[in-house]
Amino acid sequence: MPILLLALLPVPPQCTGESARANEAQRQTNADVLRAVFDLVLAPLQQVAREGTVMDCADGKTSLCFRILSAWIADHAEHATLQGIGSKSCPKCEVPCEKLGGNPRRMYDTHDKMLSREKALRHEPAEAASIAEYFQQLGVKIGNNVFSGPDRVSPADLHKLDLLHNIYLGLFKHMMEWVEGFLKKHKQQKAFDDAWKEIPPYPRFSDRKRPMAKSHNGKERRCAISAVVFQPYWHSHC
Amino acid sequence: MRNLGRCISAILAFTLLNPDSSQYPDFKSALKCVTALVDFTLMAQYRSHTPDTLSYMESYLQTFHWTKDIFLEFRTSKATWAQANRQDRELREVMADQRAKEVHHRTVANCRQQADQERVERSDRRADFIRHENHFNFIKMHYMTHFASNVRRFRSISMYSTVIGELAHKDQIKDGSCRSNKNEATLQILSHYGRQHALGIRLQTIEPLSQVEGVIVVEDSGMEMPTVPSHSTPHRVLKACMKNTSMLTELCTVLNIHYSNMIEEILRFIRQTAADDRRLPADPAELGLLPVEGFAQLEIPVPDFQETDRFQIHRARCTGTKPFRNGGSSNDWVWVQTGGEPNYEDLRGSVVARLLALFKIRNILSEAADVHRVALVPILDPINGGRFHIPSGHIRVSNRINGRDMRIVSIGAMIGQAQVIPSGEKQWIVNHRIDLRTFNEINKIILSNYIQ
Repeated sequence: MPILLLALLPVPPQCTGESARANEAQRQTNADVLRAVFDLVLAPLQQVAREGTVMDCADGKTSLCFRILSAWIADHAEHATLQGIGSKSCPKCEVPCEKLGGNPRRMYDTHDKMLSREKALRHEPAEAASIAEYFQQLGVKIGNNVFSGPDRVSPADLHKLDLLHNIYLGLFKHMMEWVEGFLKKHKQQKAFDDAWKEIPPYPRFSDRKRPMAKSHNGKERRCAISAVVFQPYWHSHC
Repeated sequence: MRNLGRCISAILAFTLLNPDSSQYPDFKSALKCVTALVDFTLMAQYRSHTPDTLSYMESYLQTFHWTKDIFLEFRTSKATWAQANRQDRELREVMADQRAKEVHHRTVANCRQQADQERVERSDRRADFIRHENHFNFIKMHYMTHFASNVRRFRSISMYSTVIGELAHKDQIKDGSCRSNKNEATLQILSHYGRQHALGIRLQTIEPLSQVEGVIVVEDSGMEMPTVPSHSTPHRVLKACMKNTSMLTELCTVLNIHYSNMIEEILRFIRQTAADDRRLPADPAELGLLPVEGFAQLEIPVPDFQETDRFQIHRARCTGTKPFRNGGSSNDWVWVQTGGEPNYEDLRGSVVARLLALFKIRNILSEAADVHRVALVPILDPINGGRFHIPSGHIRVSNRINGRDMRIVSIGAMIGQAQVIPSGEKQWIVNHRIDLRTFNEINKIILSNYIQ
């Protein structure tokens, strides 16, 4: 898979903590800078996305192709920054934060930038407060989505699920805390640790000599510390 | 954490194997919840899916949601603890005020009784508050509901792994920064990886082109391309030759195996093989004279799950009584394919066995002087016909009680390493979630048994 390093994103300064207003101003400046950088990075794609470009196909013919930004591979915190959503909001759908742990019978509505724009335009200026409140309930910060500008980009589809951050560093970490609590309650922790240390060898299976409670520290945890790396996936749409 | 997911359900099954009557429902729910989450994760790693695998994923997710409340009491956040402590403090003060307002005199026993009642009430209120405040509302829990629809729309989850992005911090940025002269390093970092990557791709292209035989010239470009793919299936290889094992008697001495048992098993093995000139002699005296070579390791190539040209090498060790790497002896567990065994219908002929001896024996009495590469293994019987043990969520195996358990098998019958976890006397839990291939194979069996 070809990977091309296009740009290094700026690291924004931390909030000073002097006052709430200063922090808010700093946050807004950071969001504006990020958005300006992305406008710059994505600018060469705008024309191709609008007018298309003629490309050679494998069958020997040429086709008019329109490039679609189809995926943005990043963890949840990075998506929350880039898409201007709250940390407890889903980049894909409009699930309320108090329903995140449920098992919904039907999927929630998908974030749709066109619909959102229409909703915002339909409201009178007098209702600006209410529309801001409406988006705030959905965990969306208006105007902070760096992907809302370019054509042929659906921000909700850019987010892709990931086993490393969602499962291994996310759910499994939580699950281990639950299991540890459960074992402690039933006084089975020592038996569990002893069994863990006695697991027979297996290919690509290591790190069994420490108790389970200490086994998920170190290298794998360090993987969680990440910064934003520009690494788009492109699909060619003929 | 990846290792954790592969073995936690089996270890938990072992740990929670013997609950008392009051613990049984809790243990069962906890095990079911963890197992469902691990199964969901394993199935999410499939590189290709069918409608069936997606429906299994959804059913695992539902099972997880139905059973996850068993862990709700362990979902207390720091803020909830702090609030519970504050409420408890306030309640204690209110109770103390009420006690102070009471004018009539009470005995010491009465005071103690009231203090106990207050403590119980406070504890109950605190527990109620914590139970009410605890929740599973965090974003990674919600993401699980999108997995199946994500596969339907965008195909395999593993295609979009952030592992590549995480590795890019080192390959693209740190390495580039190290090799720059630190003077306006940004542009140097940006150009470094592109250059390295282009050179790497070029080298990979040159490598197959440099093979002279079996190449074709691509029209108009002058480039040569190989006509046949260079992939080949690796073979099983015996390694780590043991000293002083040139005869069967010596091999038995080194491995501490009874010679008569070994001869008996070899004779059985000979009777099962086709009667041709390659067959070993059926006379024990002649067998004892044949040259033998003992080994401590067998390399078994196991194809990667849903891959055709990639293999994992399982290195199954068999050191007999000798220590391995300053530890105890290492006699690994393996899956053995035994054709036509009625006991193993439910496991489709695959059985778990432990490697006791690995050797090759040369038939110098025949003209061809064929070499037979074989292993001595005690095989384990599946309990309950290899059916799923509902409380533990795993298949269990045990030592064979009736009949012979030792067997000589060709190394070609070894299909990979197995992982079993001891659970009681001469019983083991088979950890079929250790890799995707084993999980898929055993899961098919479990699901077909359910359908029957």
